[in-house]
Amino acid sequence: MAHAVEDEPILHMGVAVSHGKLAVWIFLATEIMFFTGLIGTYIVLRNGTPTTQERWPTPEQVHLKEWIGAFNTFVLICSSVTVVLAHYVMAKGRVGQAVAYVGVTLALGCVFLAVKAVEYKSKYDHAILPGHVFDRVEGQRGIDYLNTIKHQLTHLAEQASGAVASESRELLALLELKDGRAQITPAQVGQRVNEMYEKNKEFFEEHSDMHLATVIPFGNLWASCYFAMTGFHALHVLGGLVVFVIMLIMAAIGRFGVQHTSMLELVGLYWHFVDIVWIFLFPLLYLV
Amino acid sequence: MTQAHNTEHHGPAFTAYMVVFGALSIFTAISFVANFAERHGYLTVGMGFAIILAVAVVKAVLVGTYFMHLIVDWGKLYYFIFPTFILGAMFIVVLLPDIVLGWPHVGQVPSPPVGSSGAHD
Repeated sequence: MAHAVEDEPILHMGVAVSHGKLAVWIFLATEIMFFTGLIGTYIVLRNGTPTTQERWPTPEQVHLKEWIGAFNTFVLICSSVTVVLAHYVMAKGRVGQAVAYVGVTLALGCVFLAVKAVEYKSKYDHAILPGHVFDRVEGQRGIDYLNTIKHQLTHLAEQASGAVASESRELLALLELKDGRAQITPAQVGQRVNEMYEKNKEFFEEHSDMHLATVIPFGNLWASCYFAMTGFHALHVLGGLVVFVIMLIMAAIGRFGVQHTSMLELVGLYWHFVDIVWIFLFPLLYLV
Repeated sequence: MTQAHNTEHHGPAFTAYMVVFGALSIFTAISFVANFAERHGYLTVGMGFAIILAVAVVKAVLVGTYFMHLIVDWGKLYYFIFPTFILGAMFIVVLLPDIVLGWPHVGQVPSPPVGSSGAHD
């Protein structure tokens, strides 16, 4: 009887992965659903809202540079490689090398966030913020637009030179009341301003202190989607960086060793997921 | 025993990581070039979109398979990763009618219902 019991195969409950890895994958599954919600909503708004008259904003209209997005994609790919190499060398007992790779990953993550901060600053400078974009210039919003543009044109007429200054003065003259009546509607002003900006794009790119509020249909909707998606992604990057800092502190006080190989793998799983999210955000926001 | 298990590396080899890194870099460049070609009229919008989306999917699969070690762990974890993808795809699909139903109305001014007098009774 005892012999028969010994021959029975040993059964284990659960799956053949560590509890930590299972927990991280369950967490990542919830994260997949979270970002699918954001991306799915964006796809619906992006494809369902624009009309043939008013199209979805192009990257140029909202001051988004494709090469910056591509650069950040490359930075995150490099950081994914360094974190996977950190785990690889740690598993071979080379702790010092693993710490170096974690340090490089941290630096690359910081570069990603720094580039993102520069992009956000550009959006702030051009007032591409939810609720601040002049996507409609009717009613009270039209009056607000005329006041904003009058202020900007006055600044351009005084500070700029050449064609920009003369066009600003010309448009300012049109904004003056004639016999108590407006000579031009806010929508017509918007059209003239858009044409003026397009014609002098290089000037405005060179002079970051000179602004001209162009009319961007669905600009507020675009800004809401952009900041929601990239903001939540940046928060996830920040979360990963905090863990990398903790690892480096542990290494500095001599409490980081081969016993943390699994921890490094689990943090790596999270970091790779953050990379995958960006792999989809980059084409959706910058390219398509 | 636990120590030995923890320090064991189950994933791909160093060379595989480097090859995947190279592939990811090349694919990023391809999506950038496809976008450039689409903007300058060398590719249709649909073709450009298809290439860029396919490249993104391939990149995600590479990261998942090699960097996240799914090449080793897929058999142990597929039962809850796979349903997540199905639910994610379904989530987007169920929202699609919002787009599709919107198409016939693009650029049209809404007309009053048939038989409407324009005043409330």
